[in-house]
Amino acid sequence: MANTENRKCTDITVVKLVLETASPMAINSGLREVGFDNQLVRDVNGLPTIPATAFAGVWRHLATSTLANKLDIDHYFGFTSKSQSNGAIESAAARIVVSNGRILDSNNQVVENYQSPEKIADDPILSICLHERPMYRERVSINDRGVAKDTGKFDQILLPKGIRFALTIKVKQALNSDLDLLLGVLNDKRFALGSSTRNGLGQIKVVNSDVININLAEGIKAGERLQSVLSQPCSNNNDLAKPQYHTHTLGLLATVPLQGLDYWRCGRGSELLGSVPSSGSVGIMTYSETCVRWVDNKAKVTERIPVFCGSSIKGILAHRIAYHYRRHTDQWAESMATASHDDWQTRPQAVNELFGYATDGQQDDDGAWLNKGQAGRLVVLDSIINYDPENITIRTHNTIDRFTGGVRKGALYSEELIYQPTFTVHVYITPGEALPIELQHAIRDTFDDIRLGMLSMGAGSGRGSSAVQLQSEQTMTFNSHLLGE
Amino acid sequence: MSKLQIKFDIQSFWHIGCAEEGGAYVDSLMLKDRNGLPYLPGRAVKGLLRSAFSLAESKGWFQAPEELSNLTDYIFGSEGEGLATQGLLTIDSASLGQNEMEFFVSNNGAAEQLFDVHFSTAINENGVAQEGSLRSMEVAVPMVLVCDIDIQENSLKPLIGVETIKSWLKSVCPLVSEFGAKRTRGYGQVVVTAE
Repeated sequence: MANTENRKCTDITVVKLVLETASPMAINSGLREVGFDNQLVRDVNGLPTIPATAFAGVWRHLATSTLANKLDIDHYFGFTSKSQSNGAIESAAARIVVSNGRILDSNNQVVENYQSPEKIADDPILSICLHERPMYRERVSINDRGVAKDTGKFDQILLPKGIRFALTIKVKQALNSDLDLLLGVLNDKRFALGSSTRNGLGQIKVVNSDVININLAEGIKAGERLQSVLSQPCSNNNDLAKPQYHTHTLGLLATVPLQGLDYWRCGRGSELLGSVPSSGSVGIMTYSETCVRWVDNKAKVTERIPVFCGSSIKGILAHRIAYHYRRHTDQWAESMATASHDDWQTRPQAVNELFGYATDGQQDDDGAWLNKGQAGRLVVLDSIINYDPENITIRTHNTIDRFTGGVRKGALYSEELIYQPTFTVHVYITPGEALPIELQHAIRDTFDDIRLGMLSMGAGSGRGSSAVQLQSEQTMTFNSHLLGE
Repeated sequence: MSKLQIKFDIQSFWHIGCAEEGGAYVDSLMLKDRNGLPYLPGRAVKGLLRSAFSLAESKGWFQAPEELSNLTDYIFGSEGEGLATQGLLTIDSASLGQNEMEFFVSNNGAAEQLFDVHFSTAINENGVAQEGSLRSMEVAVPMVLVCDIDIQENSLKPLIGVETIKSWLKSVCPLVSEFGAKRTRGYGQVVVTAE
């Protein structure tokens, strides 16, 4: 009986969603903001929005990778292709209609078009989002010598964690069994929007959802109901939390609960976590950011919370994995004595495919574009730093002149350090072909290094401010079978 | 003859193309009237209503006379390989209200605020942007458009009353929830009502 129910085709299914950014999101318009590398995509109110094209694109990509052998993806998402027999263009419209994601205000209400600037400025959440840069992260790529790569600096404008969007999906003429599979993809951990999704950005979670079936055979009232359902807001239920929409396709490779060995720091923030010292300003401090927290459907902006960014963690892992990979494949420094600087700072190809890479556009002899870039398979999330506000210190540094032994003029600087903070590193891996055996060994060795406290996780490793150990009474989990054994 | 006014309350950016590109400005320009204002052509309105009416008819919403084999063709007309017949509807283009049009015509440059340019790119199977896939589209901002529909009685063979047709057309308006280019991807979201 249940099977017969699943074979049923519903005329129209409307899915109302409330999505929340589970990490900062960089969803861009394709243009640049002055002084930054990107610009957030915005609606007619000037507020950030989630474009339906982005949402549907990620949905289709994941559905294709996980469901292609179970249902006809083109049937639901539409297609345009050239016929192989006669070269004619064949196409079909999508049966899945997706709306843009509209931002919710601090009272969990959808912001309608053409709101007055005063009303938007009065709302604590919307007023932040109205800024050209609600928040930003500065990133830099480090080369083999531990310094910034040429042209490796990015200034990325982001939307804070905790912003909510309302989005509506309309599916026409879908088999109930197909619909369950398609909607399950929305719960996939890989469902992330915008750029740098492998660095922990763009993570979303479904907060509320309604799945409403409309049977047009019920007559005129069904039409009225359709219009009413499309217009009304999502309820506080979460239909997508039901068992038939569960999915587990992204493997949790490692969970590593860590604690700073002593005073510790990561990233480069712009505001102190503690109070301003009497000596004046502080030069270097841990990266921290505000986010939005929801309690009883009311949003509040939090105090600044220190964050160990996924991109930082990924960079540290990439360097150590590349080191171990070279070791396992007998690529020794002696054999590269005459190699160029570019060769030295180029990762081995196997490591590159694990972490992803981009190349400049190249065309073949016929002028067709060669797509050489590759999204990585390792996904590293941001880690929230837990610390005791009482245990923050300012450490002052000097540079000593190597000839005179005296203090160099203008070299005095200070940094803010946190004492033994705790954080947990989560690393996921997307399903795919088995990794080369040498790379598997390199990954295992890297996590062994972390477990043994031999890999600095943080900033200022040359001064010992990023030494870590496993949290006491906690164990690291490492699922090596996900590497392809 | 009876009149029906249809209101298109457009909730999102929208695009009706004019099949022209704008050089370096944009790959696909919006359709505009002689004053440079966006509008929804009558043939597009008719197509939307016809599609909705056909769907409703297939679901048995209407009690048509037995001698009518195809109610949609009777009201909207038919063309193609078979016998072409004239429908009962005369549909205007949907445009801004009179006051708004006068404002934009009298304020030079104000109409430019009705448009924006959106960029998009395709992601390939490797999960990165596909080379050469960046494109741009001129879109119009959310607005309310209205159009009039004249419903005539079939003078040769009257089968259905004008008021009945009017009520049927009103009832199918809620089935139109998006229109124009990229209507399945967030553009042209609309609430259609009839008076």
